[in-house]
Amino acid sequence: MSETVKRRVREILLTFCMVTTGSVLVSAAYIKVFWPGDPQIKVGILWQIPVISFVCSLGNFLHPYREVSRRRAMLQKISHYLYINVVVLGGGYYFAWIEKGNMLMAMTMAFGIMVVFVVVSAVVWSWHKRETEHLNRKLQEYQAKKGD
Amino acid sequence: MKITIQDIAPGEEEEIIVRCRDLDEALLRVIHELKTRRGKFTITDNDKIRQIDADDVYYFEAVDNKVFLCLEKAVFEIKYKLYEIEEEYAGTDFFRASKSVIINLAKVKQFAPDFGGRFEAQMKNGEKLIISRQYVPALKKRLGM
Repeated sequence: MSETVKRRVREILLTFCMVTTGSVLVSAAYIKVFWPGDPQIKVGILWQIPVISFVCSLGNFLHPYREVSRRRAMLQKISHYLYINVVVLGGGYYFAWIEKGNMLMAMTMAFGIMVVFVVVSAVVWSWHKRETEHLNRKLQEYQAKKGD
Repeated sequence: MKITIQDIAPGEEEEIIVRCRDLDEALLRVIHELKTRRGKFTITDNDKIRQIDADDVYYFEAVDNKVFLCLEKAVFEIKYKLYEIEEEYAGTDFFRASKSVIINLAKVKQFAPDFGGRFEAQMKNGEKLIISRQYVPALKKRLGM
């Protein structure tokens, strides 16, 4: 397996884990809001959440490794966000998480998507920042070794 | 042939001493190589031909099929291709940061995170250059991460 494929698989698995965690938390809140009390949920949801999370994770392919401009990278990020909305809302209607014609449910779901997207992006950014700090330490060591 | 590499104190001039019985063709070629090819770039500055030390170069940039050598404050066009510089200076401080840029790691002040998994190299002369995502693994490897 090439290094790029390995990296891509690692990224997708990581995104899948984060999105699944976020989805379970958002679903718990969503169920609490729209079906208060002690509702019964179908076992099928245990499969539906990972399936939707996995399809969302495939959105990572919208960020190719080839070089792109900052503007293009931003457009890809927006496309990724829209893709997730389409997948989750589409899945929501398909699996009947959202009642047809109930705008409040759809909007709450869209809000949940935004929260998960923002949290996951923030976590990824903090990793990237930590990686940068590590790079800077290594750069200093490299330059010191070279007698700069 | 025995090869001895000695550490020197910071600031001390680097020196290569060749100890041999005869200067044969192979040795002469090595000396010529050391003296002329690596480490110098020939540029034209106001109709004068000048040589620039590779150590003084901040980065090389390709724009519209032309390659520019960028110093702290000056920029000169050179008759090299980026891949030639990359090959010639493999294993030195020069690092391919993107399709169009080769940076001198000795002239990088620090890295900063950038959008989309990229990094920004902030140079010691204040310029900012993008390290594209596809070259990040190579950068980490180069810096021993």
